[in-house]
Amino acid sequence: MKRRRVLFIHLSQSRVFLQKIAVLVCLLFALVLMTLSKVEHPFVLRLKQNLSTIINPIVNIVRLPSDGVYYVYTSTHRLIDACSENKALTLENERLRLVEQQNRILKIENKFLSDMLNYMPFEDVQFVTAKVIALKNDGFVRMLTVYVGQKNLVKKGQVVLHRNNVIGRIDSVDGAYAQVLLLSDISSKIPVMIERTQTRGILSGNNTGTLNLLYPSSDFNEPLMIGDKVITSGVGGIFPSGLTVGRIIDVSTHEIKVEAVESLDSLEFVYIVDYHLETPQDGAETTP
Amino acid sequence: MKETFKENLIAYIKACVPFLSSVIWLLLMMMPLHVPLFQMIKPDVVLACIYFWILCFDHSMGVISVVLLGLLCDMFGNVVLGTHMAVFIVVYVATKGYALWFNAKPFIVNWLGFALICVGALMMKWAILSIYHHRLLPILYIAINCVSTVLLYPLIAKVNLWVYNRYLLDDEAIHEQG
Repeated sequence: MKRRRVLFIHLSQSRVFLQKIAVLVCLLFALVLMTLSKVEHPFVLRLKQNLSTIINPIVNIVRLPSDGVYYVYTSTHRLIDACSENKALTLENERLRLVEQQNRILKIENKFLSDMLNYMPFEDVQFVTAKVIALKNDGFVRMLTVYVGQKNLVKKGQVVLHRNNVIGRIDSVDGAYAQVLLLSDISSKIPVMIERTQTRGILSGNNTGTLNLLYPSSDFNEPLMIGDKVITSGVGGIFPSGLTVGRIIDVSTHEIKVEAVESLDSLEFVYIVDYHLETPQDGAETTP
Repeated sequence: MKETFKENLIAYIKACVPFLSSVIWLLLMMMPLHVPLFQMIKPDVVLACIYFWILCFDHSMGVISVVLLGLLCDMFGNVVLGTHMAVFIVVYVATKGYALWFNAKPFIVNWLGFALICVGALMMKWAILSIYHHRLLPILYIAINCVSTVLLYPLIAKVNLWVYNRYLLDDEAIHEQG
């Protein structure tokens, strides 16, 4: 009887020891995963891709009830506002007709000048409209998950726009879903230019609502001002030049703050544009 | 033979209830609210669930369940793989160490205990991700996350307690008798 009790004590001690070992092994596994993520090891990328193919459809289903309620709310709201909106649109339509005429003249003039300069525009620019299925917009990460379908048109590095303004770029594609790294994410850095002064710099995210303009070039003596438009510079070959990014909202001695043009609050669809530019390779630095 | 298999299956499903309830909470939090202000409020409900179940029914919230929940949170939250896993394992060890002390204490004491654990866990997550990105992450959002998680804890505890009373109470009594 005594021997049996001793045996049970030994078993329970060894069980506690094994539990402690399991905790240590799991903690070690987590650290290894983090390290492998940092070096973008193929194992982690494959694991993420495989898990994403399971998780993204679940996220897509989970958001259905919320989307339904939101759809009913917005539809009702639109119906209520329809009358006043119709009046405003009629006025706008008349104004746009005049603008269209002016544009036609400008288009002809532009074609004439382009021919004179032998300018080669971007040809064969393709885009895909993708539905936003999840937005991670907290202090730890700023990313979108979008549904892109099974046609394999979307690739890593492609530009993501909303109403012709840049909001980010494709970070990874997992089957029918793609992850979009938003400009405000801490790991996002894109080469930009101030439209008015032609000052170049790097626009960096910091996981907040504003962006930081780093290393502004000092080739031009003209000071930067609040309200200056920030556009992509095209340096580095990831983004084409001239796409609107945001506006300067703070010019202090320490840092220049930029506010993105696009608000992410009501994002439903985005455009993924393929400019046929060089896309970054896995593991390569995305900054120029 | 059939009876034994059925009993084993039911016991196995019951053992998974804490894990499954945590997953359901996680999925509920994935629902977009379409309200601008609420988009940056992301309570860490799984953290609250782990804390609750370890205090309440720790036999079925083992380290493997915690690791799996961490992996799911990393995937759903799109953060670096292993971050939540490491944080949850530390929370698991810390909560398990004080589980006996918290036993039969008033709810407010449990809640205060959770507030401390939550601050520690989110600071750890913040430190890991700041080291990973070589930059300090904004502390404001972490503070909002922390406050919202702590404020949501009574609701999570209430729902989980209902699940516990409904599905697991008998098993617990048997476990204690055994």
